[in-house]
Amino acid sequence: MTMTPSDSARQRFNQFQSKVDSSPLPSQQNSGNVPRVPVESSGQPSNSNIMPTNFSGFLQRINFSIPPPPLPPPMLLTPVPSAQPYYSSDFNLPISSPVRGILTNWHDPNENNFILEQCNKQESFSTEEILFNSKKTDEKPQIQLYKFSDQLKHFHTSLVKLKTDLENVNLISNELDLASWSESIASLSSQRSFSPIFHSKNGYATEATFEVQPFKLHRLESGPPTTVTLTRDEALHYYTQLQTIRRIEAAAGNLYKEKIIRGFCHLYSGQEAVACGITAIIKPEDKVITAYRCHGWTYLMGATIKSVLCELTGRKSGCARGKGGSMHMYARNFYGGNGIVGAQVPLGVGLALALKYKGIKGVSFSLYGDGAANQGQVFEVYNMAKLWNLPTIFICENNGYGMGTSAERAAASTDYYTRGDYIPGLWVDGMDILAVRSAMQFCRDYCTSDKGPLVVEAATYRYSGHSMSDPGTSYRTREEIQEVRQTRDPITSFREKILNADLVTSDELKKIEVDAKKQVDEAVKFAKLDTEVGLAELAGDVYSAPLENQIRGTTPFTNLNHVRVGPAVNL
Amino acid sequence: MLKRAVKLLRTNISNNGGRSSSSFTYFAEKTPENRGPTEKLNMFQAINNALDLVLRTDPSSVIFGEDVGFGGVFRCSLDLQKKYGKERVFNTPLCEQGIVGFGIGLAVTGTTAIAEIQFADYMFPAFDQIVNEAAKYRYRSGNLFNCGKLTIRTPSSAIGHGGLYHSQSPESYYTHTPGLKIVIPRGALKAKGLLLACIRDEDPCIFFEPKSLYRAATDEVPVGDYECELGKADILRTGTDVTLIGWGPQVHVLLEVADLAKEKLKVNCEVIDLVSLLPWDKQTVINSIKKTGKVLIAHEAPKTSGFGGEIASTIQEECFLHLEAPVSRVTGFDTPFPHVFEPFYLPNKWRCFEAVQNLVCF
Ligand SMILES: Cc1ncc(C[n+]2csc(CCOP(=O)(O)OP(=O)(O)O)c2C)c(N)n1
Ligand SMILES: [Mg+2]
Repeated sequence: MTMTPSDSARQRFNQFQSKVDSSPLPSQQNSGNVPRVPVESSGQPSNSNIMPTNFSGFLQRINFSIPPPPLPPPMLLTPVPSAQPYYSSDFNLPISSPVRGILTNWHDPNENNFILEQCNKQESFSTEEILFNSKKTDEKPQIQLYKFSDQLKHFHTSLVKLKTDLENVNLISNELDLASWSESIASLSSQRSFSPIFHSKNGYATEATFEVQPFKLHRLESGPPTTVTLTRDEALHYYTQLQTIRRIEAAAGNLYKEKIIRGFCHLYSGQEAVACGITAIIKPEDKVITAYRCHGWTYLMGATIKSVLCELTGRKSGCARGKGGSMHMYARNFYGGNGIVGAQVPLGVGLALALKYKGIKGVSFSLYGDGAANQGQVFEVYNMAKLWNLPTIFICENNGYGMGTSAERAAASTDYYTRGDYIPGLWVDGMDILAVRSAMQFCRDYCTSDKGPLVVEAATYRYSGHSMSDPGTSYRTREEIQEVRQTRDPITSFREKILNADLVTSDELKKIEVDAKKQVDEAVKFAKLDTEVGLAELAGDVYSAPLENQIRGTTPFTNLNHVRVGPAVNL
Repeated sequence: MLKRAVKLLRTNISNNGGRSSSSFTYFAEKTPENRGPTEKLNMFQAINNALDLVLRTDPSSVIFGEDVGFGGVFRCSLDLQKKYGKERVFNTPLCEQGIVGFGIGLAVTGTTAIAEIQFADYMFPAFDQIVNEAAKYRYRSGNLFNCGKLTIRTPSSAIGHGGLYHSQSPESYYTHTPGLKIVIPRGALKAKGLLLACIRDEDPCIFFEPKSLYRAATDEVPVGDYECELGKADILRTGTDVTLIGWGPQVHVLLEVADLAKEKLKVNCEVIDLVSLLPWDKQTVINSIKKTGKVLIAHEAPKTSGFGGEIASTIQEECFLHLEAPVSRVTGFDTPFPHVFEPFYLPNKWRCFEAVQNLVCF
């Protein structure tokens, strides 16, 4: 079940957003969609001397106040008897003074706590502690908020979260020009759509709603809902997938360094939310094709971790028997990675025609990078897809770079979601699995109701170099990578979100992390020990029915006999 | 324009302790005499040096391709953007068809257009522009227009673990196209001279740069300007018993085979580097085979329709009565370039040696 805030609230929110968007932040002006190294904001308020030094380059101060709205009753999306928010429970802890300080960071990536700046010294507080303190003193903690200048999304969700969790916090404001923002936040929260639902037994939510960063639309009257509901089971499931992919890629990186994986190896770390957000809504009749960053995809589409890692090491238990390697992996409904940039996109459109022709209510997803978006064949099939109204979703994973060339240097327009021109498109925050999921559900519904193709741009980031031979730091700064890791990481932010909504406990997440590591470690061991297929397969599956059974090539072993290893799984 | 064809590379290849890579041992060129000062350069440095020289001396020259601004994947254009500016050395978007078509447009105005295709495996999106446009511009306009100022540089062939799309040797797709010139150097010294010749040649050239040579091939390279003649093969070792023909890194395999044959079989091999595949030096090959009567052709590309087939056919036409054994070919297999079977796929010295043995015993 999904709730959308009222239109007026949305409108006000958008107004605010455009105000913030148009504010003269150098880092926004020249960065396109992918935040670059932040530049010191010139428009800082006069009391900027209290800016915490460690964040000074990143932060823009915003003060505001929210008149405490009447406490909404917890929203019950599914009736749970005697459900109660956890903050109504009793704290039997000693009274301490109210928290006063400046909330400078939404999350400490390690601790998942809020960090409060008090008299220039940092202290870490959990949500509970802040609440506890406020409860005990009957005095609202005073908190001033900072936001990362180009991290509106975080700002927004954090505010929403604060409204949910810290009903009693008095947020200080001196600046009235942000009143409309406060108002829209207040009205958003009074939609009551942000309260988690709580289970009576353990005090943890079974379902929660979140607000995702707004989508940008191209030739679409309305877009996907920005308010999304997440169940506890889903949260655990997605977290497992995200973690597992990150682990697989870390393992692949290490195996490459040990020279057990040879040749080319491109890691997906940083981009996990795109794949996981798509597979969250994918149906058995849907089809996917992508480029060479395909290890995580292959796993998500049903291949085992072992078969992914064995393919990487070129061993016989690999999903392509070790014959494809890093860039060429396959699974059911997954038509592969592809080493030739852009070449997979026309194939994806062919998949869509087949679906339509056979009357199957499915869609094909073709993924490609910001670099690949400049290949001519992509435009050729935009035309074909629209001409024949095919159920296909083009997904440009804009990670800011094609090898060492930044998107801005390679593309006349970096609004990749508009580059289908006559094909409607939308932009989504590709670092937020929930945003991607919402977008993809919308797109899938759109395509399966015979409205034709869509072009989606998922704004994301790759942490590693382009491939293992690229350290990835000659064309971008370490700070840039670090900043994305700290502020936009798809896993950390999701983790924080589901923890704060009390959908899961940190113990549960810890367990997932440990399990993922264990599974991947075991698969690594196996991928090292497994053997390669026999030499006979050098001449295996060149054809289905070769006209000559001998594969020519002079050798001391004489010619090789053609063999069929099969069977094909795609048909 | 300079046309100082230098024929300094014909004789006396010495093996001065060349660095070995996985599939061959590099035989360095003898340091040329009377060519002024030299410096020790590997092949990517020699190519960089040639490009530098062109940018310095030919004000109309430009270099472009994916990531060339940063030096390119193999560092061949390293620092050239810094030296000559973004107007003359620039990154293109990722679009091979566009790169080549754009290069043809530049060249047809008289601009020296040097395009890099990041890997030879990625040249196929540009195949139409190369085959239908570049190759035929002069012919179809009755020589009113041509794009002879276009040179396409591209890394090719096996490198060790490159897998399906970073290892191919696609030269014979292009040798099937009249109007193009196809050149493959065997080392640093030749690379500089040949690249300069290609750039200045008045027909569109494709310059394949075998990746395995970029670092492994180190020569004493003349600092100054020189060209190596296109369409001219080099006899690297003279012999009377068997002719061995190859190009690129395969030449070094064949030199080793020649040593092996001498040692184990007491057989004297003549080793020929074809250098240019289109046009190719038929006379040098024919002369050699008239002397030896036996020939082995070796290349990495698959056997069927590989360029060896063309050579073999010409040999039987021209030397039929001189042949003492069937023309022998050692090549890659007729399979896609394999991921894990690279060592079995390549025409290494043992496979070539076996073929020599068979020729001798025929
Ligand atoms: C046709 C072709 N040209 C060039 C390459 C070399 N290459 C591989 S990946 C890449 C960059 C692609 O960038 P992008 O599409 O943004 O994908 P990302 O690597 O960022 O995921 C290039 C130039 C290739 N594999 N195929
Ligand atoms: Mg990219």
